[in-house]
Amino acid sequence: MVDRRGAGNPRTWSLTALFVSPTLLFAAFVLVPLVALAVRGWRDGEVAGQLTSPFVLQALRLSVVTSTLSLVLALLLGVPAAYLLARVRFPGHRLMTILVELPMVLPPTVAGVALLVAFGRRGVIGSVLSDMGLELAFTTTAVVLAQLFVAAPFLVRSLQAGFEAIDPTYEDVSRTLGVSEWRTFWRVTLPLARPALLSGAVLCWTRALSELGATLIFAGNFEGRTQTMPLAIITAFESRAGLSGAIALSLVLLAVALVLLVLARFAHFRPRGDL
Amino acid sequence: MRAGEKGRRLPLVVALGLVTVLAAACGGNATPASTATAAATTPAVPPLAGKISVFAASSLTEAFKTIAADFQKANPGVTVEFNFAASSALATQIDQAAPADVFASADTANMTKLTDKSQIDGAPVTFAKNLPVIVIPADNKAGIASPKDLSKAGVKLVLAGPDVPIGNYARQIIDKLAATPEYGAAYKDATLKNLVSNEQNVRAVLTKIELGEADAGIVYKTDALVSKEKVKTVAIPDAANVIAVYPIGVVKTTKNKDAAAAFIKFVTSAQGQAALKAAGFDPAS
Repeated sequence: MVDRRGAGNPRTWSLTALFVSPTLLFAAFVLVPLVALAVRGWRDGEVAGQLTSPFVLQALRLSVVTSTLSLVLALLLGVPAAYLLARVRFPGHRLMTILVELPMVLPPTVAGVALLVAFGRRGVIGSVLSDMGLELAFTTTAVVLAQLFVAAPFLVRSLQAGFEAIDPTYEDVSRTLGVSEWRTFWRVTLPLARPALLSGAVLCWTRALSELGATLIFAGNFEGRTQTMPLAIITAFESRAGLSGAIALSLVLLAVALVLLVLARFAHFRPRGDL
Repeated sequence: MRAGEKGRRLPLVVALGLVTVLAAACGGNATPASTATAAATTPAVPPLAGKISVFAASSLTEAFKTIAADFQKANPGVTVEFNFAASSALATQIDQAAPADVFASADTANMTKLTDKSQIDGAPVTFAKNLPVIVIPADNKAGIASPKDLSKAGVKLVLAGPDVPIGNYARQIIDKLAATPEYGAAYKDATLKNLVSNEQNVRAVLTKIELGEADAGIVYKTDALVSKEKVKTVAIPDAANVIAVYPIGVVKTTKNKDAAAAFIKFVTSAQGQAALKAAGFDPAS
């Protein structure tokens, strides 16, 4: 979007002109592979058939269920964490902030190995659970844990920034009017943070949906149980179904991601009314 | 303000994605440098030069690294790069025009996928054989003593995917066992019910057993040798077992055919065969 304030300023225009080429190049770089995927899917006769195959549908269902569960868990743990991080200076605050950001920069395969070492059969916690007859590896629960680990930080980070941006005066006024802290949180703070909550939730959900590395290592790959969409794409790519199957699955994920991002954009900007 | 927050975060995500994509692109195999072989018609052997990309089955990892080191010693002008993965994955990659010069598969099925499409130069050569075995964690908590125990309720079995050579062999073995009166048809259902994961390649199966995450898996005897401190093996009766056959061939699109052919020749030479034998492989004939 062109900044109208600088419309008449030649210096701004020269900078704009300078930046146009890299921007277009970047747009093309992202667009070309995605368009190629769609075109190939359109032309390849096998792709349409693959879209409704049990292999694809099973993976899609599992992906939707696990990523939604991950989001719910992320909200349950992440909303309080984000609020505390934004509003309370507690000992270890800085450490906690780093901890929240760590999974975002960590390769998911590292997360997978770490989860295995912790919750696997021989793991620190896993061995105790195993003695109690509870085994996580190769289960749908493991898929959710892997997704939660890599995706929840996106929610917490977004929401923390959202809470921090709210002027505490609103909450103070609410409380001086006799509204309880609990009610103030629900009626004032959370609604004000709604855009951040929504964008954080979308990022968290899509990150969970695209989770591959940690799942593959920690949860394994089994149809209907742990084979989510990204794992199904790899499996299809390496099997007889080959590229057609992988393209079909990729197109489904692309469509889902696109719809979500568009919805999030609308939800995000509506309250401001200036865009 | 809020729009600003989002603006700060989204590009980070995009940038991270970009970095990943670029890193993956850079990690790809470079096209071998073109070799000027002006003296190709002279009887004197021109020294081999350039780079070759060998796409080889995961089970060949150690043996081929040894062979490549020896080969490079004998041909100092040649650099050998590897792409180790499931033969099925490699076949798909080559089919999608990945820059491979040599393909070594752990079964004939995945090699045939490429020869059927005329993507291999000439006829592939069989250079080794291998034998599937059952691997169990060293502590064998599930108490597996024979292939029959794979069907016990509660056993966690991991196999490679059905298109991966060892995954295909494993399913053939289960079928063969189920066809014997001693095991019976119910054996297959009970065993496959214990299957908890279809791994990407034979080494992923081995790792799951090393870690003790699963109770049993089927890999090659050469893989079991690689981690003999961590896993134990249970033999599969010869009558029910399948012999894995390893073919190797030059990929048609190679830009360094001489070096690719020389590498294959080296694999089948006494020195190459010795390295394979040391890794536990059986000779081709």
